[in-house]
Amino acid sequence: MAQETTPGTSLEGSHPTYTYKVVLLGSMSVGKSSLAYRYVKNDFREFLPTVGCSFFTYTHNLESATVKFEIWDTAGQEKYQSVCHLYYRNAHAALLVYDIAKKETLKKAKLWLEELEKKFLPDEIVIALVGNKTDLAAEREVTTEEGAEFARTNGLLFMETSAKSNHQVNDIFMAIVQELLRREKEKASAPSPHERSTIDLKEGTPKRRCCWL
Amino acid sequence: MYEEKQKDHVHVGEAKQTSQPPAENAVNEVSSSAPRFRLDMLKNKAKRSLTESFESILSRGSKARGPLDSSGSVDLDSSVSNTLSSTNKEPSLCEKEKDGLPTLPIGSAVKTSGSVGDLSSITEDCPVDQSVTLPQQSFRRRANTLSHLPTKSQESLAPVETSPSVPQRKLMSDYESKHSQQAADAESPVRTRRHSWRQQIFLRVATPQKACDSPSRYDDYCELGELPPRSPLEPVCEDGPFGPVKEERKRTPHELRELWKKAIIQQILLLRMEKENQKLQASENNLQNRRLKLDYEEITPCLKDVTLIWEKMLSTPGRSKIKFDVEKIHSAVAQGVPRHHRGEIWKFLAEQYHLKHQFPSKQQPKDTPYKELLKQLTSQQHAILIDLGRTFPTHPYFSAQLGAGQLSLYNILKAYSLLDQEVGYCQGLSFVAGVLLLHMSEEDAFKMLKFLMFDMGLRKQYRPDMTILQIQMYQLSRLLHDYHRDLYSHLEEHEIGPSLYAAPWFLTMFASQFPLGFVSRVFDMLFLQGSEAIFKVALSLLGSHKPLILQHENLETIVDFIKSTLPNLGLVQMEKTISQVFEMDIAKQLQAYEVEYHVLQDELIDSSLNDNQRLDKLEKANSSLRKQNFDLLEELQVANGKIQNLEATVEVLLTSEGKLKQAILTLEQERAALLKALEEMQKKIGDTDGNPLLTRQEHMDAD
Repeated sequence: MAQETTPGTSLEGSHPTYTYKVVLLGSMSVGKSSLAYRYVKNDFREFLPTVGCSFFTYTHNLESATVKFEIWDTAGQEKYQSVCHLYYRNAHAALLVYDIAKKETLKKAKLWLEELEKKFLPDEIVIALVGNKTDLAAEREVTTEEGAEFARTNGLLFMETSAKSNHQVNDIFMAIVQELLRREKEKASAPSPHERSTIDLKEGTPKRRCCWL
Repeated sequence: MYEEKQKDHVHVGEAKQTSQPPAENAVNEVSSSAPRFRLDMLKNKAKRSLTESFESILSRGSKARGPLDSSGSVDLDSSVSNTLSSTNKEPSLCEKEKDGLPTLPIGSAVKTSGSVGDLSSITEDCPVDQSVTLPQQSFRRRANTLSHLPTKSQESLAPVETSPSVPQRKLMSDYESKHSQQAADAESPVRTRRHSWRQQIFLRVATPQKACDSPSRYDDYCELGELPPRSPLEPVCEDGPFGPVKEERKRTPHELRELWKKAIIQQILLLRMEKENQKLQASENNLQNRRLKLDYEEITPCLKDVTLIWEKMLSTPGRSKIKFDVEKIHSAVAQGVPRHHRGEIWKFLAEQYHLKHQFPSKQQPKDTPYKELLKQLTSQQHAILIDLGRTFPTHPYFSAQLGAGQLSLYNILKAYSLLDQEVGYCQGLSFVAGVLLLHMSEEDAFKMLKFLMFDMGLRKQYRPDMTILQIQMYQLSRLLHDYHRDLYSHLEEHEIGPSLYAAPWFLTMFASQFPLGFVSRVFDMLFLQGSEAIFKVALSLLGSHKPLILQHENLETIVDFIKSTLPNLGLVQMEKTISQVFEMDIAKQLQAYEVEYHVLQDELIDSSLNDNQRLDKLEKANSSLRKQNFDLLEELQVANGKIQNLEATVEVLLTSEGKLKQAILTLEQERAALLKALEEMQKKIGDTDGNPLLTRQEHMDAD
């Protein structure tokens, strides 16, 4: 699933480095870029609309492993959906972002989920549902329960965040890291552990981001 | 303050209704013959309101018509009593009052005609509104005033509108104007200053122009449909701030009429001046707006002689019908475009394009007028509104939330989304429209957006499937391969395709990331070459910063450099980039690579189709083989049946053969036994008679 990049790859089990591709999907102006920016730079600023896609990286140094995230931040307008598949191809995790103060953005997130389910097998990708803008609690249109319920029935990670007031942004990304690592372990231990994972890694490398047009 | 005034008004009203003239007040009124004394009195005690001052003026005026009767004195008295008892603390008004009062005919019988009484009762409620609204809404009032020329007051309208009879209205308005000015004085020292300033201007202007303007006076009235009948009561107000104070108390009707004329003319003049003033201010605002809009640093400041060339072209009479030399235009654009003419030059380039391409290319939108489009509603409203605040948010023209810039931008984008339903609004367009808007009026910007999208073919990249964008990315990567092989390999090595950094370049024409000076140069070329210009700029940009890009060694830093650092490099670099663009010609490659893309795409489709077909074929073959197999199996079964039958026959035959063999065997045994028996018998015969036996033997053989 993920590939171990050469520098960090010491012997199995000691301290592997994983690189994952994480993609942010959701309607216009729900705060995709802001979430990424808050997470990577721990800062908040107003963004211009993302045209096409933008790109961030972030490295977690955990005790058990080093996890490198390549975060792909996509354009929100529906018009761009036709090019979005270029960006989420081979993603390891996806954040479906909606705005808790705009009900229709949750609907759109649900559509994104359908789209992802068509392209990925369930164990190929970790999906998190993210209700952003909790700082706008006064204008809330989507209750926490509603989001949580939808996430539960579809087996998604779920959290409500605020990029502006830095609420749970780190937590949701950490939850994704943990889930990815858990799956990694699961896979490694299922069949004869060592071989399996190394095969996977080699398979992954050439496929990754193979052709962008 | 307002409340106080309102209270005062109530006082006035009550005073009038009850009609109780306190004696001392009457005395006071009379004693106004000694203005000093009266002033002191007032200064010490008086607290005045707007209405009071108004009323005192009113009564003053009414007196000019003749001896006042007692009802008049009631009015006067009540007003004065108010003067004394009200709580308004505005001594300045008293001074004003003092200035006015000496002009009153002293000692005249304090009498007021019934009409004045009516008047005052009418005004009773009106001034309340006035005093409440006046300071706040002076602008609206002024606007009102403009549409009601005959009213002399600048700031008070409501009472005029409500007064029922024309003569009264004239009176009223005159008084009101004074009154309101006084009120203004009373309100604050600033007001006082403004008042005198206005008065000065008024007097200064009115005096010399009086003569020449007087004939137009009635025209003005006619225009407004409010020509007041000229009544003998008119020329009441001769004094006050509007003119030199007349010393005579009795004037001939003629004189009064003249004075009236004068006052009216002066008022008209004042209003005109205000209008002019507003116009000036508006044009000044426009200029300021323009300056604000064009507030960016040019990367290639246009040389003087180039500017002259442009000015010459732009000012050619009948410009829109003359074809200019293409080479000349190109070289002029290459040399530079003066910022303050840029909008006009873009329009000029569009005109030239239309002249060259008489037959509109491909699909043209319906020719719905801009104003029509503005009236309609767009389904894209939500998306547009979201992006308004995110388009050039730091530019002063667009930064104000729902300010002029954002509103114009909204209008253009909305109109476009209605004009071009297929594209509607696509993120990125707001930047293109924004750049245009910085250089020209809203409607022109809309036209130019239409030109770029339809005539220059930019719209295809915004179409819903976005295939063109993907083709463009492919083309750019191929061009990079041609022109900057090392850079191409470097990027390829880190798996960076153009879609990672160049999508905004195409979708916003560089406007979302690059400084406006650079972007406006891109637009200069866009108006000449369409989207080809973007490729050239992209190539040139990457090429001229190649060494810097090559320094970076991983995906993140490379992308970050291209996205963030590249747009903010110095003017020199920018200039170099742009000047290279004018030397490039990539039209053929672009065409070739587009075809190439399609071929590749087709092959891809082809191969995927083949697989399917193969699968189909194999399946068909499989099923036919299966069928064959089935048939054979059936045959086999039949054959097996036969075999079994045959085997059974064989067995039967074998057993019969065995039987026959046994029969033969038995027969042979019989024969042998018989032969043996015969031999024995012959022996027996031979024993008895040898010959006959032999003969018998021979006999048997012969048979």
